[in-house]
Amino acid sequence: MITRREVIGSGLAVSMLARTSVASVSSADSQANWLPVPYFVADERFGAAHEASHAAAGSGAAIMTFPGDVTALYESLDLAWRSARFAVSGMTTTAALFVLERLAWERGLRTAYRGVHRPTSEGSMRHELAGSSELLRRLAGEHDSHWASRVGRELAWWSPAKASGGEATLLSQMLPCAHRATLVSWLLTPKDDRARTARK
Amino acid sequence: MAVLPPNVSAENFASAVRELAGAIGDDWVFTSEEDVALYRDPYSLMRDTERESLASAAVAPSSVEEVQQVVRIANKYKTPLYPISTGKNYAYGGASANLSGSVIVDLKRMNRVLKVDDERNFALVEPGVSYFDLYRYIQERGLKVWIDCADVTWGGLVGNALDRGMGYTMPFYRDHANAACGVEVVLANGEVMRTGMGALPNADTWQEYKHGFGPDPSGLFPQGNFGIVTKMGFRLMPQPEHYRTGLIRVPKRRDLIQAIKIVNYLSDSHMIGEVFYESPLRALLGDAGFRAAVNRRGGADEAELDRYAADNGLSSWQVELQFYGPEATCLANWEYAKERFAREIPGAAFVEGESLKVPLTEEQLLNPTTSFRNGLWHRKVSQGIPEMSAWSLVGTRSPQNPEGQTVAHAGFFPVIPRSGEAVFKAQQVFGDAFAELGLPPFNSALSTPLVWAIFAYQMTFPLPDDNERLHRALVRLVNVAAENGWGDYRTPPFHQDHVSDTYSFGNHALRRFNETLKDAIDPNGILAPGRGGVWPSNYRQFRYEWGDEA
Repeated sequence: MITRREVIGSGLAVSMLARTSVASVSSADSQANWLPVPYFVADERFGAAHEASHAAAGSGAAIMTFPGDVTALYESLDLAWRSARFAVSGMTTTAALFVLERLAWERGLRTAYRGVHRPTSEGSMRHELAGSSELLRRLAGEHDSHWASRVGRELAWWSPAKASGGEATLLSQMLPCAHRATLVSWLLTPKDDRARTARK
Repeated sequence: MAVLPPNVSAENFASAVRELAGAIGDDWVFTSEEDVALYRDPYSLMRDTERESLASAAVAPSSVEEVQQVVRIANKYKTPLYPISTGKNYAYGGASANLSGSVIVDLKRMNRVLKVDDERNFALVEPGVSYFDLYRYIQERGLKVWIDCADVTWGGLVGNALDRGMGYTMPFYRDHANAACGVEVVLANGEVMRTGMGALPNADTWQEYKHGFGPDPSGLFPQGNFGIVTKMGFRLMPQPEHYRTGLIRVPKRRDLIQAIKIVNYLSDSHMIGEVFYESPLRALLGDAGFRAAVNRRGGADEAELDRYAADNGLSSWQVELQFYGPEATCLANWEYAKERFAREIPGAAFVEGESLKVPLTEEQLLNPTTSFRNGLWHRKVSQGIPEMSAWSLVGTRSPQNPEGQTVAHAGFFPVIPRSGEAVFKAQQVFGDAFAELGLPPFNSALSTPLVWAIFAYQMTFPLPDDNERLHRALVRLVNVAAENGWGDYRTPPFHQDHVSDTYSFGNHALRRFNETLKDAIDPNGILAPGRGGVWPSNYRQFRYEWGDEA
């Protein structure tokens, strides 16, 4: 008998294969160096995460939502990453990212980008981003109240090429009716050194 | 390489690393800064200071034979090792060692479920098996046994038992070190030893009778450093037919004394699972006058708190009970509990909870209105199902997430007597201590024990900027507790020497006994020096390296 959990695990693998056939990269440059991120994770309690996930879906990523309890997501990714390492991005609380990045490390992935999105007392959002200079350049465009869409769109792709790292701090407007919570956007990618897929 | 083991030259350490790679494979010896950083404790109060414990390297053997080789090489180069199972022991040091410069022995690759028997009700697992792994194994085979899960279940059964973790079902199972039955260890000299019936060749009772014959050393391994555990058996609870919950409320503050006596009887008679005490008066904490009353120095005025309860139509205390077993037995035990409370505590009130056939359906598990999900501890783990939801309660911090949340895992878990009088005294003693230390009132006249299986009384601290001040405060609290006869049951490496120091009967006879054993069994002191406050003679100068100021 196939359990619900097995179905979730199989679904991950099937969707990932389907996604590799998605064609376009949002940015015109360096298309050959950018690969699709098969999954975007969104904490469904937050409007910004919803908006980011819609944008990521528009770029072809499959969306995984969770209600704050990371259990089912953890189990799904644990099983899937045991079979194959693939990139995942998302917008969650820092608590969820802590769990996922620990799992990622054990399965041979690393945190390639992190953006902390913090509401300010002046009613704007402060974005503290750390990642490859190329990704930061793509994220550092026009930042209006739809910053989450930009984040979701750009985190639907990743580049395995070696890149210098950087940091950036940006300000934008708050999303309308936004939850005043600090969120984090992130990108977990396979390590490019020796395979550590069996490390667990 | 940032850190070397104490008293080991860079040249010798490089030779040790080469031999380790030859023994277990290049891919499983980790020396890069990025890899070794995984073993830092994200919650260490010493983080980013010169006193933070850092690993020199990590190795991940895949078999008992490889563990033996690691131990032999460590002996050759006198290199300290620190074994972990899955390394998720957050709040208690994570994967970090007592002694900075140790080589972490990461056992996550040893992750086989060796046996589960649902007629004799036990499991035998390797140290890398997580609660999720064992649960999946059981479900895939349709076996009729439950796991007593830890709070956050990405960790492993062996590691949790070896740190004396606890769970949520029936008393026999939820003290995980006690539920363990049969241990295999690689000793410091590289030999493999099995305890209990495992020492008898051809015995098929290793997981059924833990003691065997003669002295049983299995108790030396939890919170100890006498060997590397490579297999461990666990008694498992047969899947119950039925699950029932009920809530009991009592009107007055001092009713807690009789309530605890009754609950002790129910628990020790194996009629109930883990209980959850709480005070409905917490609803009044928005009232500044009430807050002052429950945080009063020298203890609460009972008459005043009773007036608050009566004026607001609230009970002073409530306790949620869980019943497991045949449906008729669950009902009979609940009826008995109600009869005892009604007879012995005037004004006791009862709320019927859930009465459900086991296993629960997915819909029942996800239904937020079911009463077993109302209490903090009545989550999926009360059904023997692993989950991670508690993680959102305790917050996070990591190199990748320096923002973290404002709550961290600097816990304090003194063991107090199972009586209402002791609860009241602990409320007063710790309330006063927090105030004297200038810390927020983590404790109040409404505080209740966390779990009764090991009689711990939990307080978790926020993470202030001044970690050193918090460290000193924790040391002071350990001493305040000890002055009252209460000892911490479990603590991160940076407080283990302080806690060990309070268990001082007979001029520290217990510690001297343990360290005499340690020197005899592990003459080079290679296995987890300092764990549990037990230091081998060659590293004894590192006791209190974390600082002994109180």
